[in-house]
Amino acid sequence: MRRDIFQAIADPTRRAILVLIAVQAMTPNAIAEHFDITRQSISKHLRILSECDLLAKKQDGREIFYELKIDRMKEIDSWLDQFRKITEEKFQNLDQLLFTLKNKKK
Amino acid sequence: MNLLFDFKVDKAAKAIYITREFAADLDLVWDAFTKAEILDQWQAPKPFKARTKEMNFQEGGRWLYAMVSPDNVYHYSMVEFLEIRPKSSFSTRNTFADENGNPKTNAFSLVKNSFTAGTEKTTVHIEKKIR
Repeated sequence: MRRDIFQAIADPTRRAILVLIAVQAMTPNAIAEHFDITRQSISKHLRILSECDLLAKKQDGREIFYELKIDRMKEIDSWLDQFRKITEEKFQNLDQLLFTLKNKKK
Repeated sequence: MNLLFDFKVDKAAKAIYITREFAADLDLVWDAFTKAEILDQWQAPKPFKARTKEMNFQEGGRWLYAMVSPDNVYHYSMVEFLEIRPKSSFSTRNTFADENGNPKTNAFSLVKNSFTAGTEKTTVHIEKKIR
């Protein structure tokens, strides 16, 4: 299942995980050591982050390391940036239109 | 005239808060946000055009419109009106749809538009929550 990327960052634990693995690739156990919650719920958060396509998995011997896919995080920012630009442009259209409509009324 | 534009993002809450002033009275700004013939004239960023297919501005009603690309491809969106307080606020549920208003994805946003009359201008506050 593919999830909406916003779902990943809605949860504070997942945000904390993203901060951890942004610095270095980590094993699930090493990640779990940073939290006061069960290994099982860490696995659940990692699964959700994977489904959001935010995690890259690397196998090193018997260990699996997770790291952050930085490009995907940037997508949120570029979407917001785009949305802001479109909103600004729409409102500038409206400014002009309101000006025309006001003059018609007079 | 200097018109305020404020755009705030709360990523954790998946919410966007926009405040914008317009140099017109409340009646005109309200109409610009709620009447299809006016909406069609400003909703689309260039080079797109906005074209309304259906508009029923009442609680439970919907606005089905398309963003039309320069090569004439219609991208439909549907806005369902949840609550309307005339000349004060209205809230909507927005989705991408097909030409008949069937949603294209599970994702939607909840939007509340609030209007405040000022001296020679009207302030519009928009709260958009992505779900």
